[in-house]
Amino acid sequence: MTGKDKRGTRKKTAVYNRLAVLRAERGVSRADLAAAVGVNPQTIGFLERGDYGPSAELALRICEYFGLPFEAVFSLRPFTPMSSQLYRSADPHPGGQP
Amino acid sequence: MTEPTAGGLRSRLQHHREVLAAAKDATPQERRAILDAIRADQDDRRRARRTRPLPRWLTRPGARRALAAVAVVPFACGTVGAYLAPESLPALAVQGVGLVGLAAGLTLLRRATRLLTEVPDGDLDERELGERDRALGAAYVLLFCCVGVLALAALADGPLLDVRAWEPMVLGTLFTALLLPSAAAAWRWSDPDEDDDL
Repeated sequence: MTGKDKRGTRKKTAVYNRLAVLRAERGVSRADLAAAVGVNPQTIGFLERGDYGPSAELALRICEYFGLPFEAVFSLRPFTPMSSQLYRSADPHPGGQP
Repeated sequence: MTEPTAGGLRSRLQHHREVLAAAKDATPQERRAILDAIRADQDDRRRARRTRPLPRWLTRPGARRALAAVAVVPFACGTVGAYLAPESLPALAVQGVGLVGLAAGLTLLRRATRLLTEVPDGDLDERELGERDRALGAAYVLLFCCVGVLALAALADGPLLDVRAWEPMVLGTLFTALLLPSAAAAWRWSDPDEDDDL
């Protein structure tokens, strides 16, 4: 899933993830997450940038570490920003009607 | 890991002498324990070498690719040296350049790729194993090309060209074969973010 295309830019993986947001939210460093799931800290950087698609085993280990279901961390489609999701779920009248 | 210095080298040699002396009079169980301790020490040192931060210039893609091209130097010098009079000054100069290329490749290429193609599988994660597989695949193709040139030179020897000495060419091919896996890994190395090492 990695490599470079003909223009020399790095190919992006088709798997999107929320690793950067989850790490920032919980104050976990790349090194801590990498040690917990058994990879090199650089690999976490590659995952966050979408430059590498994880194996099923690694993805499941990451989900287990965060205690979240698979679909909350990984997706085949881009995630909507968490802030807008939270705002929408908290607002009982999304259309502005009382 | 600290850089090897003359004092450091002396103390390590002294340490090796002491270990050997201890192993000489040890029981088989004690020897096994000594061997396990040596292996653990080697593993620690290898891991320290892999995690050592790279100099800034080695993280630049242009520098890494230029360094990867150094792998061809022993082969090119060996090929040129094969057509020069053995032990003549130009032949010795060309062979010297080839050896410098080999030394530079062995030290800098391995440093630039964090020993990706040298360490055991257990030291690499799944992404690094994939990168190593791709590098070894590319190195295999390049080595096939070098051996192809060697075979063509053998076929053309006599009727077209006159090889004066085969040794430099064969040795150059072997030395380049040593460097190709690291060179392929350096050429394809994905650029880490600046904060990846943090």
